[in-house]
Amino acid sequence: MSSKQRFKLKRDLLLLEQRVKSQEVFVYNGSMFRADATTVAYAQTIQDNMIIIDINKTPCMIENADDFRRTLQLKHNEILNEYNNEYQKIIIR
Amino acid sequence: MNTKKLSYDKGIILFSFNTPECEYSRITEKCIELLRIHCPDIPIVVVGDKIIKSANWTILSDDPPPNLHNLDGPKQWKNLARVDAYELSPFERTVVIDSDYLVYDDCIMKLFESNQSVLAHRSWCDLNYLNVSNLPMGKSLLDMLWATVLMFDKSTEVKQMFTHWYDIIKNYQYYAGLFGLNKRMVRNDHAFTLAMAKIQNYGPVDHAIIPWDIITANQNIEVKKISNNEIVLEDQHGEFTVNQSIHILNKESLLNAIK
Repeated sequence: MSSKQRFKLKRDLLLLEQRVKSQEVFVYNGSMFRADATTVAYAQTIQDNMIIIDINKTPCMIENADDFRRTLQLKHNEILNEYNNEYQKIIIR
Repeated sequence: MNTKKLSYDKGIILFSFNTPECEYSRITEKCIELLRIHCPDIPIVVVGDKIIKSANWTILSDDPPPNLHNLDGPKQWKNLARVDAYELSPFERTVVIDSDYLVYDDCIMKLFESNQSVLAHRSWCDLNYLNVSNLPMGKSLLDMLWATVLMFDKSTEVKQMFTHWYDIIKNYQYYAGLFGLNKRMVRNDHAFTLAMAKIQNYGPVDHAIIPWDIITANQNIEVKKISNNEIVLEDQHGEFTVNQSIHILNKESLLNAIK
């Protein structure tokens, strides 16, 4: 692999990482959360009417913990599917 | 339901003033075309020196005081009207976007849904050097906030922040000396950063940060081809394609690609 090809691969992966970083953010009750593995794991501990801190360090009341978990999990799955598809396209090139 | 009221609740403002070197109105038209696809139903207002038909409204304005950018030799740059966005915006919640910020995703819609009263980018992703970082502002310890994409609400605090911004531009030489900034070029990003710092008593501004990076194609990157789904760019490492929102600094090549 030439240096130009290596750079191109690195840049394509960085762009994919950036896309995931922007797309995994979702807004819930006006607060922004990241649908990443950490939040998915943390969400399992949340109960109804608990306060959690969003990305901008702002408190947010989660009235319905199940609804929050559902929204989060959907977003997480959606973004990982896209990541997988795009990743495969990049490494095959 | 009052649909007229809804349509004025939120919207996008673009500033567009042509200079002898660059026909910004052409870039603005392309920016609006992309916004219509990726942020449908959001009204768009242009503040500028020429009516842009594709916008919902154009606010015709006198030229702002000329500025210079000297990245590639001194060139005129009419970017100092940005500070009037608060007064000119007809919306309760406004996103101001540079016309050279090309929107290829729906991330701006998230800004409209947020509870924050101001949001802007702090970290940037440089596609030429594959680097993600915060830029220090001059010789200070403050991290620069980008005024390229700026969401704000109409509120007393935000109005105060814009007043600080205006004062900083008016007294830019003083602030440039104080913070070690380039005195020859008034930079909106710096004035906005200082205004935000002042409103927070130089405390943290974490609550006002857009939680993804502003992807930037710097002057070394040329625009080769532009469509409504992606943009093809080229630098010394070769061609590459981007299908997410991106800030293009090489305006000449952007304009050529649009033409």
